[in-house]
Amino acid sequence: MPTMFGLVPTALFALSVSNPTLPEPPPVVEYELEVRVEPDTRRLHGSGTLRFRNSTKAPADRLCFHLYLNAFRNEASTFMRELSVEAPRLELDEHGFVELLSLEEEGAGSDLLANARYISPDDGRPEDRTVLEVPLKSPLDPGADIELELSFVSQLPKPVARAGAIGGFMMAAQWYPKLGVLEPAAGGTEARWSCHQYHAIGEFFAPFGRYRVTIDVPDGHEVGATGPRVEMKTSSGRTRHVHQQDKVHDFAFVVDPRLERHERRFEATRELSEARRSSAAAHLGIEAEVLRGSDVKVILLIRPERRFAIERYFTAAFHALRELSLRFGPYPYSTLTVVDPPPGAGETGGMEYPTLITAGARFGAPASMPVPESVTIHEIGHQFFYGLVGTNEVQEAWLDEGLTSYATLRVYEQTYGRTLRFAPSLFGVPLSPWFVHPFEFREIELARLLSAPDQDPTIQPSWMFRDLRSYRVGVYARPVRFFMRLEQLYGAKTLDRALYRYAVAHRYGAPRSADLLRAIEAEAHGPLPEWVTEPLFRPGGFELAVSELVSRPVPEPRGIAEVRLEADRVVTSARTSTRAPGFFTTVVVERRGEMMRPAELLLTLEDGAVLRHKIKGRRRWWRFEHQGPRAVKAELFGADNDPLNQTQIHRARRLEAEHRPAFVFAGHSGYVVGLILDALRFLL
Amino acid sequence: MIERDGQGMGADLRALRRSFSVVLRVHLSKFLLTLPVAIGFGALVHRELAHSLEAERFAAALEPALLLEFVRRIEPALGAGLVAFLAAMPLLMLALLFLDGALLRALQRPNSAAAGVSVWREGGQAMVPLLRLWPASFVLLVALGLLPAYGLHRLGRFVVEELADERTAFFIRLSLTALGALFLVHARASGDVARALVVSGAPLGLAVRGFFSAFLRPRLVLAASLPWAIGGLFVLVTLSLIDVRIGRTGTAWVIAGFLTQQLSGVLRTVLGAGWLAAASRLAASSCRPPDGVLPLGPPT
Repeated sequence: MPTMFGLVPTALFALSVSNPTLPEPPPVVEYELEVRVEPDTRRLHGSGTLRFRNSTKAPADRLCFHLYLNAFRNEASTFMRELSVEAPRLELDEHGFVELLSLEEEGAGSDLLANARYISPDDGRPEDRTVLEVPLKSPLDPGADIELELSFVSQLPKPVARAGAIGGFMMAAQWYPKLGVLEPAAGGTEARWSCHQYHAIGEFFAPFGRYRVTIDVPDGHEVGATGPRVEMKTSSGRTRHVHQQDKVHDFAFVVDPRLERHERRFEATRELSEARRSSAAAHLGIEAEVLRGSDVKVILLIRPERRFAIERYFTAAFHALRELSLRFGPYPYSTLTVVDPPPGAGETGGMEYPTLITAGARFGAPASMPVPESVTIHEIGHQFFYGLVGTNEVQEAWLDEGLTSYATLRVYEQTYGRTLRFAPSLFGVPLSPWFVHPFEFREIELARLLSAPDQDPTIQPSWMFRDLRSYRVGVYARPVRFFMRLEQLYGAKTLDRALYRYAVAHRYGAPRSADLLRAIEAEAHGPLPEWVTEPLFRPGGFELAVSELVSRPVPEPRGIAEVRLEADRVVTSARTSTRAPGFFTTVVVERRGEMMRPAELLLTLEDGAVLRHKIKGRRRWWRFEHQGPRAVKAELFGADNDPLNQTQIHRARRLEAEHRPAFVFAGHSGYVVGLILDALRFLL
Repeated sequence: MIERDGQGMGADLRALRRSFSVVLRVHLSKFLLTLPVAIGFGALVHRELAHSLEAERFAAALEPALLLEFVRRIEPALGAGLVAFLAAMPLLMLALLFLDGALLRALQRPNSAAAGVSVWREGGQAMVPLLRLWPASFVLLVALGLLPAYGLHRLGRFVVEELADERTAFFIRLSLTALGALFLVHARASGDVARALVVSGAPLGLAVRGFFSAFLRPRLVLAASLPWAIGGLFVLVTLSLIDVRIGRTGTAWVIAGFLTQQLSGVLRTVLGAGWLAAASRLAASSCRPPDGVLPLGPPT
């Protein structure tokens, strides 16, 4: 249930916004790993050290590791069970796994794995091996460090979701034993691990830290990874690439002998010019200096067959880096690697990792079709909402997906325009977009909103969504329309300031939904009404429709006027007064969804006058009556149409019928049936 | 034996011109067949949108969100309509066979007799032989047309599975699918030669032999029938492009859109008739004396 999130004093926020200090991430984890890549077997042999600091105020008596690749170990894993029936089945040699071979506390000399056990905190399935609980020899005190020596072996599966290897291309994501997040439990006296199983729906959550990874590959293999390459050595037919990055919460890499490396420099002085910074800063109400960023080396890894997409990738990446930096603070890392997965590895595309994204170009995609642009912008958007603001993607996926989708929308509209075309494809190649009408980018999420029943609230653990469609509605579509509604209510400037405030205040942190809503409330100078936040907390749609508009001449006042008794006889007299001029109008408004949002009915009369009626409360229907000039139109919300309203067709109603759509669609359907008959004739 | 008759498309065009009034009547009949669906769908649109302020926007372009909402609203009616359409399928098949028969008989008539024929009478007379031929022709179409086409399509997918170059993969798949389509067109054209024979009074056995005779001469058959198939494809693509370009916001544009669709329908029927004229010509070449056993033309 929504609550008021408490209004943080505006002055306090004004201070942090005008002079934001970017807090250092707490050094919770430090990984120093070496991984030997064997492309022939798709195996990764890893070893190294992991330093973990208990940053809570309670002792920790155990560690919890994510072993995500075990989701692909066999068909009994929670991930594979949750995949729908049309999920690809893996052959025996296509499965993946990660096995922790040893885990020793530095200096203690004992293997901690002796008492380790797989746990399934979410669904209790004993077959699932994606979470490993490791009891410590002695509790780790608050603020204390533990250093662990570990070795492991991983095998990448055939690409099913995100990670995988095919045809020489290896996308190593979630490839190592990854610590969960130790959080203070309610009350703060205890600490608990936020370490969820790998689910078919949902993503990841990990603590910020420092990664130094040596990737040992056969010569001739290109490598792309999180962070800059700080060292490269070749010997005995193998090359060791050392990548290092601070203030990130994951590490991914890609290896492929056929990838080409293209680099361009995103020059901050040119891309974030003074004029652009000044204008953006004025919009956000901050000093322009705050938005001064540093240069970024943008690396594109792409196979030669996809060279046609190089310019499109770089253009989109530069647009995204520039516009997102001007909206949410400068991108702070020195590299950004964009990977174009080759054909067959599409399942690894459209994914975000710290300083590395995978997108996906399509041969033949015309300029008006936003592939790979929209996905590139979206994944770079995740560098801000997921990468820098490291929210829990399992518990509150809308905080990264919803915000990123909204940011994508704004950046796309600003850089590429409002309309786009999706063309039907032949053998995976888009046909000419001339065959389809253009449509508004904003309409995508509305279409998504209409494509599945509203059976889940937005804020709930990802694995609890009924299916992927419901998840997409809940964490992508509804939040985007929610932000669009906030734009209408408070103005784009207020919303942009609130999102900037949130992004900067929680950089390198893991805020919750309440933190975001608090930031919005602070900028809106008041608590958000319950009906505004309701879509985040409750399942169910919202549909307010004008279901009836009738305007008829006022009827003659026929009937009985007087009744009296005359000599034991009842005498009546007919009404004789003349018919009143004008029309009697009835409008019925219906609420068809479960949610309610206050609205206004605008009734336009023949003489141009507009009557307004408030619609509030949680009734199922409202009737309004009016006597006077004939009504010609009844509209809800007027121009301020609620983006969450799931009806566009019945949002407004006119008195006079319009026959053209029926005629047009009768023609369309007749035409299509004619085609079907011709096809039948040909095939029978 | 199907033979080169030395006449080519000119003869088909002449036959088409002679029978043009029949072709138009066949188109009108097909139009009437589509009417129940068109009226039903139009009524649904009217119910949902006649009083909506979004009516013009809905009519002007296929906007995904509006269309989705509309489909969601008419889902129950749409389901029932689909069931009714599928239930009516056997009747539709019979009607199509009937119209094909009428066309074939009209196209096989000599100059003077083609114009005034009755679609009802000609279709009725062709119906029985066409129905007798149908099981054999359908099996042959599946075996020699649909299966090879599907097999080549699948082969295309298999061949390019590990191919990295999408351009090459696309052209391989396109080529194999086009080859499959050619099989289908050829099997269909051969089947229509058999139909032309059976409609002209040939016994069933001779018609089936006519099928094989035609099928074994792909160059001859495809040369006669492919231009009409390509013409049909051209009409489809061109008019789809025009149709998308028409923004239906004014009444004149609505009418223009409707006329474009009707024009497409007429052209498809004309091209279909041209295809049948080619099949009739090929059938006639197998019946010419002294080799032939039958005088081509509908029995009186």
